[in-house]
Amino acid sequence: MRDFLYDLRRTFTGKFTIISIIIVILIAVGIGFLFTSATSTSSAGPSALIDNSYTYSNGTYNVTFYAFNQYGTPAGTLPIYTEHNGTFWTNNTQPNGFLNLKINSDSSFELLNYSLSPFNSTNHLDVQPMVLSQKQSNELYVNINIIKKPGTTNSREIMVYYSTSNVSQAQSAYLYYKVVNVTGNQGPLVPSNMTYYATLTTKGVGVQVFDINPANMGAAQQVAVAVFYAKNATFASSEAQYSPTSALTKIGIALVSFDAFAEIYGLIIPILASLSAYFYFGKDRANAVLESVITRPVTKGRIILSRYTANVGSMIVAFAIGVAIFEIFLNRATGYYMSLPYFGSLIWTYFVEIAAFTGLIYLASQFLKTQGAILGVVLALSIVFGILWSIIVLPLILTEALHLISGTNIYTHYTIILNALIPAGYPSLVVFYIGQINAFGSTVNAASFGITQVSLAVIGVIWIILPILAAFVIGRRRD
Amino acid sequence: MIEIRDLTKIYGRTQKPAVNKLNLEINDGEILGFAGLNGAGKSTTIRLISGIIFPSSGHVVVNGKDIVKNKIEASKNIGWVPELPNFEPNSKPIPLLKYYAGFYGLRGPEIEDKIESLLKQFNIWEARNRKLKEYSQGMKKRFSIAAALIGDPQNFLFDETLNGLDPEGVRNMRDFMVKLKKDGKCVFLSSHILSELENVADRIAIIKKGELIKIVERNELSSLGSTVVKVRIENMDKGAMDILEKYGKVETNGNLLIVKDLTISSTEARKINNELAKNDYDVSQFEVSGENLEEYFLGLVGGGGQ
Repeated sequence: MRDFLYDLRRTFTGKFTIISIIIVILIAVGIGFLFTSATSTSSAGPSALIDNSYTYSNGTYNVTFYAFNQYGTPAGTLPIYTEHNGTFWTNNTQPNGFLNLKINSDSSFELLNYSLSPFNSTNHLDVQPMVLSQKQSNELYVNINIIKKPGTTNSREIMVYYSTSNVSQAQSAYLYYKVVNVTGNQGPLVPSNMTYYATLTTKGVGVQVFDINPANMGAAQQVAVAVFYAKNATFASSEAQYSPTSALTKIGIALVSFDAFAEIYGLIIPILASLSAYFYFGKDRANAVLESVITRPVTKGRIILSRYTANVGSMIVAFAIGVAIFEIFLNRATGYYMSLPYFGSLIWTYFVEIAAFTGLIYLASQFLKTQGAILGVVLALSIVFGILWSIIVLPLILTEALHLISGTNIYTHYTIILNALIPAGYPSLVVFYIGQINAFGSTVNAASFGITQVSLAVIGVIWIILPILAAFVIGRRRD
Repeated sequence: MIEIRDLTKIYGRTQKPAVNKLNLEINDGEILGFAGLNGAGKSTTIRLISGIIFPSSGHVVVNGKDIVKNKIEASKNIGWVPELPNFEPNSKPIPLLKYYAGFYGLRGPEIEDKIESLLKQFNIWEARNRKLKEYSQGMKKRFSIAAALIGDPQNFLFDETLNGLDPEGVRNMRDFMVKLKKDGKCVFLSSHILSELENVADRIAIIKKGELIKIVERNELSSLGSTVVKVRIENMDKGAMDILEKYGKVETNGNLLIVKDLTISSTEARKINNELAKNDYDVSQFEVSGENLEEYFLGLVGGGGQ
């Protein structure tokens, strides 16, 4: 056991392992950074959204605009263009997103046009009309906006804009929600069959964000929200329906993450695993360092297995650390962790690829006598059948050697066969199975191409066992 | 004790055996010298004994255990000191010795003490914090001896260990091997420095082209090969030469005359000295002896290489 621990420690603390871990972590940080940037809250979308309301008092309409971005963040210093009876104004919103205008009129009906771009032509498309009337309801005016949850890509929450018709009188309304099926009869939205969530009370204008996220929602379910002026009301003042953290979104994020990691790490694993096997076994064997160990009370087979285990173990740990770091970025950006099956699938995929390439170098080291020859195999294997495999080699074989037409089923079929024959192709098989999407983005049934959990497990086990078993059997009986 | 039975090693189907049906026994408390020209099969034999390579046929039995069939038990009693030690270059001596000790089931404070003792014994304690790649060849050799001793084996294989050592190193090594012998250990010493083999070996096995051609016992060393007479005559002339030539073939080596292929037996060789004295020749040296080991060795293996 001591010898095994020594090999493990030696491999873990070896320069190459440390460099590998740093490379893997840097890549994880890079992917995580890009991912976070892509989902950053600083991106509020190309155009702002506007809520508005007004009150009337003594011949003056007090109009309020509230500008915000798709994350519900107030959009300050945003120019809002307005037009009333042929008069044009341009006013910037305040830092809190509000803009107040007064229109002096004792008319019971006025039309105010507003836009986020200048009124420069007759066919201006984004001009919004706002009807001003002295005869307002005494109920609280409410508008529910579905906004993106800050720091996420696809999570949603609601921002409720509400205002009273009379600034001197406080009014209230009641926010309810219920989980509904996306398809089928949802039933009426009335307080009696919904769950009370909050009371909205204001004297003037109020803006409030609510993150209603019921537990255990199914993939085909959403949240319906509604605001009622009274708890016994029979209709809603405002209502909306959205997916706070829909299962579909979660899978989408996990799949994107999985795909990115499987592909990017899939490219570097061949070179790192092969070089690691070279530095910790092939090189030692070629330059006779292993001889000083073989003369001890140990068999060659035991040496092969202990070094192989240390090799593969250190690489797996390096990549697991990389994925864990990405998980931190993922969680910060989306609030999600990759689900355990995805995480497990990633680690399994790496394990297969690492074990296969490591085993192949151990096997080649049994036949090659010089460091140069082994290094040559390392480079050939990791570059031609690793890094370049899915980018150049595989497409060339399919199109030039087999004369297959890309996008066809037979092309996909042969892609799968060739990917199964090369360890660098294994991540593509797993991505194919999980995404059920072929290389051209078309949805396919992986099982119809023979890719199931069982077949993936069998291919993986073969790649894990076969190279090292051959190296072991040959190595223990070979000089 | 090491028993080598019909040991054969063939590296390639088209190649001649590197070692061919070798039979040897190296006993406890004995130093067996192993002599041969370069490529004669000395290192191959030692690598076969140590289990680094596998025999094509035949057996190596170490303290009753077959090195192939029972590698772990056999290797417990093998200490191998190579000509050019190759250790993990980035290792430091103490962790590496602990690693080796693990194979013998040694651990704990006991092994720490043993490692310290060995490193001090071989004068590398001061360099214990340096990586082995920073060691000189002599230091590596001393470390390799310490590494060979870590499991306290009964049998030691020294493969051209004296090569590259300075005179002090050679003397220390010689003393060390003699001590091993006194401790009842079995020592197999491969070398082509024949004078060193003569100095320490109880027997010398001579190998040529992978085959054992002669085992020389220690008591035979003084009378190897044919008898020769070495004479130094101060008033040398043709008459003296005539006398010598009556008794054999005369060769000169400076002032020394060597009479080979004697026409008389070695016990009668004194007759030559008597006749020279009778004819008033001043003989300052007269010696009847066999060939030295080197002459004998070259006579056996020379000419054909290997």
